[in-house]
Amino acid sequence: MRRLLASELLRFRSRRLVVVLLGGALGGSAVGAVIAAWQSTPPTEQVLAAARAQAEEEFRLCMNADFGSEGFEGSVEDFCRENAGNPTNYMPSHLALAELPPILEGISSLTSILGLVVGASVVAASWQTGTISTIFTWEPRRLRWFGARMAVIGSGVFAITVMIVAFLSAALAVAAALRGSTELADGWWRDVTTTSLRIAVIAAVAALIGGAVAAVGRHTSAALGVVFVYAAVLEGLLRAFRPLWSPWLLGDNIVSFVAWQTTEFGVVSGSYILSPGRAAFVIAGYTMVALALGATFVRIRDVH
Amino acid sequence: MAPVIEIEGLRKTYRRFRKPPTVALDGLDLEVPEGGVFGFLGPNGAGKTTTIRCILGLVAASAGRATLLGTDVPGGLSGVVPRVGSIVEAPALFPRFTGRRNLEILARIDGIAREAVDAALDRVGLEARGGDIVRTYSLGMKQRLGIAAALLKDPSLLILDEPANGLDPAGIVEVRDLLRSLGAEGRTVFVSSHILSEVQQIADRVAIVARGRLVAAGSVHEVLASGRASGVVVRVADLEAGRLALADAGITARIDGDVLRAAVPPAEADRAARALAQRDLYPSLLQPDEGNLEQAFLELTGDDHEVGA
Repeated sequence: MRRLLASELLRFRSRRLVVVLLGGALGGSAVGAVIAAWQSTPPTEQVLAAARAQAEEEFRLCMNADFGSEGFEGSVEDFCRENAGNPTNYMPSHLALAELPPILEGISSLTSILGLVVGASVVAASWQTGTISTIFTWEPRRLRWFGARMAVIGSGVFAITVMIVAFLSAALAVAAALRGSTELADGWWRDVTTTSLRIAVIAAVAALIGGAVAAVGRHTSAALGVVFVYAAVLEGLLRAFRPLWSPWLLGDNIVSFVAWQTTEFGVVSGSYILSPGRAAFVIAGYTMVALALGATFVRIRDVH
Repeated sequence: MAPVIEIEGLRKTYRRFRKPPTVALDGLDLEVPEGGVFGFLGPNGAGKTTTIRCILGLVAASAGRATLLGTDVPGGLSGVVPRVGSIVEAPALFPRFTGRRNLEILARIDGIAREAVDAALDRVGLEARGGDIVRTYSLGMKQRLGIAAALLKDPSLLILDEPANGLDPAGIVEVRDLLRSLGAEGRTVFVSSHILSEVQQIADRVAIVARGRLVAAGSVHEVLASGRASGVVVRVADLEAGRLALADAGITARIDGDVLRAAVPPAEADRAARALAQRDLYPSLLQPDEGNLEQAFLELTGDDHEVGA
């Protein structure tokens, strides 16, 4: 299995699409950081001091307010500190490194699409070029091959996403140091690290699902089409016409997982709440079903 | 000596949507002995490639049994695959990778050293172009790279499907020499082809399939004998005069290059010799016309050569 993994890893690394997408993502991150720095107005010490003073005042007012208890999660102090007591709210628009975790959450959809494209392409290319015949005459145990390829795709996309997120974070840190603020809240490093890892996990999941669907359809475009139609059309229809199924739909669970917070979603008949742990379970279920489907088709279908 | 490929009653039926099923193999029996070059012949659509796909586990047979190097396949394929090199139809390699990278990826599956990649490229004359991407290769170079991939494992059995496809005359000669030398090394080279003259020049034994069934098998000489071989070949100084002399003796003859092909049974060759001698035409060559594999092939497969791939 180690040799097979080494072979698949070499094939993965050699794919131009992987190199181009990684280069594009890194280039895009650099450009994004430059634009963010360009548009940011660096706060002066005076502005910072005024913002801090206003934040403390707003925090005090917030703590004295009566919120009731229904539907409120967490402590009032945390809520007031994160919202009313955040000095960033009282400064002119600028790039604050403290806001990096939500910025990273925002790129999750892009890295997921990247993962989906890489996963579908890396699997389908073997059928489209006919190399699957060559591969199976070297490794006839098809499930073993499928497992190795999926392992390489999943770990490869995970690593690529971590690289992209790390590069973007570094670029934004430099931009914030030059033309923004670098003041960090407690637990910032933990938030950035865990958010980055969750984004990478979702990108890897997208790659595995893309790869598994491509193993069924044996074509990159077909696989991407199926996944996009499912995500953009079918889930929307189900949400509208089968609202009770909504807690089991992939899209909402991914949102809850990436944000890693209990999230309330509104539907026609009311609302439902998804916890991040439950979301992870549902996402894992979708991934396993897709992989099982892909593996079945790889095992039983003739190769021409 | 145990056969390296043994096929019994192999059957493959393709189901088609709203159409009757297609029978690609209809109880094929075949034995390929160890060593030398074995030609696997048949018209397009006869089932040659399907047979190869079945024994390599790429398609599942509907019925029948096959063994490769004494092991039942596809069940035991993983045990024998390291000793089997193959090309199925066209060599399938990643077009955007270099030739060397394509081979390196395959070599890693079996833990084959990098030196073996260089040696394989060298053997097929691609050492200078190994660093170029495959998309820039000519058809012949791709074919040679496919053969290099098949040779990487240092296989005892090579299964090559139409290895001369797309090659120019020089390439055909190169591949022919390569296959001959591989067969002479003690390997078994199983070559499927419809270029009959090529197979005739390199094969020790052949099998002919038509409509998914074996119609003839044996040494090239035996198969030729099972086709039409009912004349004699005569060479005389004046071919036209010879043809007229034979015609006067009631023997139909036609000029074919520098010889006459006379429609007289070999056992009655003396009739032709006498007719020519009476006109002072003395043959420098008089031998049974065994024809060639192409004639035997057409005779044995009837109208099947019209069937598409």
